[in-house]
Amino acid sequence: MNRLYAFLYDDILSAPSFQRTVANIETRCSVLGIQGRASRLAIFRSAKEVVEGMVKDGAQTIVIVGNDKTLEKVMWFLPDLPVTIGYIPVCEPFGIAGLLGIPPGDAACDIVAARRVETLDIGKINDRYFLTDVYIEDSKATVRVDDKFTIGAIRAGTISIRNLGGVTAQGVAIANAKDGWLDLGISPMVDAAPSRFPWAISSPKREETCVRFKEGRIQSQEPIDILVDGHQFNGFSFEVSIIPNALKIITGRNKRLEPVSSAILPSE
Amino acid sequence: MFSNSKREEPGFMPNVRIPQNSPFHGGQTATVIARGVKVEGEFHSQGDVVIEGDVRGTISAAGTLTIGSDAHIVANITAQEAVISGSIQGNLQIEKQAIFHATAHIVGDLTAERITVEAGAVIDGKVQIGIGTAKPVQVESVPVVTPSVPESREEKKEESPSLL
Repeated sequence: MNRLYAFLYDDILSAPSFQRTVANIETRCSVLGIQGRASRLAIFRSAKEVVEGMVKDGAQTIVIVGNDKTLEKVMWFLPDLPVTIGYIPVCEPFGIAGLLGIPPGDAACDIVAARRVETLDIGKINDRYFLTDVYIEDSKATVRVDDKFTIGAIRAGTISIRNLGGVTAQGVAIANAKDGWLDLGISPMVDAAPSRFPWAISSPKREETCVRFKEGRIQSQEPIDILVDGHQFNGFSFEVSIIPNALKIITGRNKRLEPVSSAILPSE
Repeated sequence: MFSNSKREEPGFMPNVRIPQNSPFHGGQTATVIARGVKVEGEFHSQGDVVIEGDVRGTISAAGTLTIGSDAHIVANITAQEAVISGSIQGNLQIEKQAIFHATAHIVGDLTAERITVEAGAVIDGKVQIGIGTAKPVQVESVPVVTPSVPESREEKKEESPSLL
C-alpha cells in the first residue's frame, strides 16, 4: 500500500459491468506500486469530506477513477488542496482524458505511475472552481469584461466561457488551459434563412463571437440557468475569473492541451 | 445563489458545444465580434479584430481591424491597419494602411499613413494622410463619394511615395 496515493472511485463503477475493469485497474496499480487507499463516491457522501480525509491521511496524489463527470464532481474544490490529480477514465464521456493524453482503462495506470505532471489554469465562478467551461443557453445575459466593456447578444444568445475543452478537426484543444486566459464565445440566435423548401426544417446559422479575457461578470435582468462543468446553477450575476497554474494534474505523453496555432490574441 | 441540481445528460462532453463555424476552430487569427452581438465600452485587443456586429464606445486594436459590411460602429477607433466595409460614426486613427471597400460609410475624421478607397465608399469628414512623412497631405472631403480614388491624384501631384 502506497500512502502517497489515494483512489476515488465513482459510484457508477459499482455496477457489475465494471467489476472486471476495476479489478484490472487495481491489479495494474499494485504491480506499479501505486496502490493506495480507495474510497467510493456515493449520493449521500460529501466528495469534499472524502478527499479532505485522504489528504489528512497523507495522500499527495488523488487518483479519480470514473469518467469526466467524476472529475467534474470533485474539481470545484480540488485546487484548494495541496495535491496532484491523477485520472483513470473507465467509461464515456472521457473527452478530458483525451486532451490529457490518458487512455481509458487500466492503461491509464501506467500514465499515473509515470507522473508527468502539468500545471493547468483553473476557472473560478463566484466561489467555485471549474476545469472545462461555463455554459448559458439562449439567454439575454451579458458579460462585463475586465470592467471595461459589456458584450452580449442583441436579442438572445448562447454564452460559453471555456478554460479547457473543445476539440478541433485536428483533435487539438480549442481552449488552452495553460495560456492564462478564458475564451468567451457568444452565439446569437439568428432567424433561419427562408428555405427553398418551406416544409423542410432549416436550422438557423450561428456565428460565434470570440473574445479572450481574465475577469468578467455575467449579468442578467432575469434569473438564468448556468452550467458550470456540467452542473446547473441559477442566479442573476456571476463573477468569473481565471486562476493561472492552479491545478497539478498527471498527463500522458500525447496530451493535446495547447492549440497548434495560438494565434487568437487576447483582449486587454 | 448556487443550487445543487446536476445536469443528467449522458452525452455531455466538453467538445460538443462549439459551433462548427466557430472562429475558435483551428487557424483562426482574430478576436471576433460576430453579427447579432453588441459591445458597449472601451474595447481593446492586443491582436487582430474582426467586427460584424454593433459596437459603441471606443475600439483599439494592436493589429488589423476588419469591419464587415453589416457592422454598425459608433466609436472612435485606433488600429495598426484597418479594412472597412461597414458604417462608422467616429474618428479613425490608423497607424499604417486603411482600406475602404465600396460599402464603407464613415462619418468622422480619418488619420492614416496610407489609404485605399474603393469606388462607392463614403467618407464624411476630415482626411489626413501621410502621418510620419515630412509633409503630410490633408484632403478635405465632405463627403467623398468615390467614383475613382481622389487620394491617388493627390499622390501624383505631391509626388509623395508614402501615399497609397
